[in-house]
Amino acid sequence: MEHLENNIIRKKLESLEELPSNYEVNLASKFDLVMQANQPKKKNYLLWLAVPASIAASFILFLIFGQSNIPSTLIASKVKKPQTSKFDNIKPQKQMAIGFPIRVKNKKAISPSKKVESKTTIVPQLAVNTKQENKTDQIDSLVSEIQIVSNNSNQKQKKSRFREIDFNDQVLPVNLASESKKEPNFIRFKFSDGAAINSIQPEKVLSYRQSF
Amino acid sequence: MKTFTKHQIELCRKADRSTQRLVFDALYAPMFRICQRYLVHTAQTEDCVLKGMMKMFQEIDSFIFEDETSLFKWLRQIVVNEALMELRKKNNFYLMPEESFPEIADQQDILSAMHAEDINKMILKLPTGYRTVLNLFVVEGYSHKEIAEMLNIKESTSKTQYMKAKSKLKEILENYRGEANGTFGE
Repeated sequence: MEHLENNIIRKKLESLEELPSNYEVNLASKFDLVMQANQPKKKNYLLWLAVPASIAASFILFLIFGQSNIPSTLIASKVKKPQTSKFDNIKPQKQMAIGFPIRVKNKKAISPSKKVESKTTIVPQLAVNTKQENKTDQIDSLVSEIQIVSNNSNQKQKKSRFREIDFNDQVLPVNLASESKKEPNFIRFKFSDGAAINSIQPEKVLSYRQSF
Repeated sequence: MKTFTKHQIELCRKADRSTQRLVFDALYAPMFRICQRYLVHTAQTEDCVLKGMMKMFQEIDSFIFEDETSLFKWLRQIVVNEALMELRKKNNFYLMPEESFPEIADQQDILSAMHAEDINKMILKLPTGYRTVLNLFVVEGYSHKEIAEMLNIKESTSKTQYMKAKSKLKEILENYRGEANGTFGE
């Protein structure tokens, strides 16, 4: 009995092959939608081919024109080497009125057989102010003098960690060569017996740090 | 049931636009009816039918022609699967535990007297779970085991849903009987 009921329901429902009366549809537009949805598959296929095709085309172009079109800046042999003069890279500091000497070290390539010799030259870092341009000639001559002196005194010099000042000594004029050495971290004052202060024992050295 | 010759299907395979349009126009209305029995809402039904049509035209090369109704049956299967996929997104078919139901009285005479459109409207009024199982069991002819696999539910749940759907239909039919000369569902 149940099967008969189900058969009736099925047959009645399957007989409905028309659209509902209250439903209107534009079949042409729906059909166009379906057709449009089927088209992008081809476009994707073309895009998939476009990537290897473009790579191949660029490779072929590279082979045809070769290296003639490559800019000289990209070829290692044609690249201009920068000037390695000692003073080329030193830029004057305009803001400073007085130039302080700086140390320039030229280190040679390290080879296992030879010991590395470091050559130290003292170059004053010059402040070229617009007002001081007329003094440049004097500074140049000074630089050349410093170079000569420093080359002569370029033997192995122990780095002095402190400067010793004897108050009993006479004041000597400043030697440029000695000034060119590394700035000491400490100044040691040496007092004679007479000059010793009560709290300080004779022959005792008083040290203080120059820079903190 | 709409029929199509082998030649027409071959033309569809060759992307003949006029034949494709002919097939589309012929199958849109019956597929709309089938899909609406599952989804009820018109917009969802339209989408589902169009998806089914797209799949049909895309996969028509894999279609095997047996007889003139085979394209209709094939598309019907596609559309039902699309509708079930749509339902699975929004509904959990894990519904109720198994229950025993009393024998439903014979309503064969009432059903025979009813219009097809009225039976359709009556089915659309059922809850989603009942309606889905009833459609799959009564109209599509699937067994409860197959329905259980399709909806990811127990076989006993499918049977329960079917019995409840029939019980609900009985209630609606009794209301229908009460409306002597009135039009059902309006």
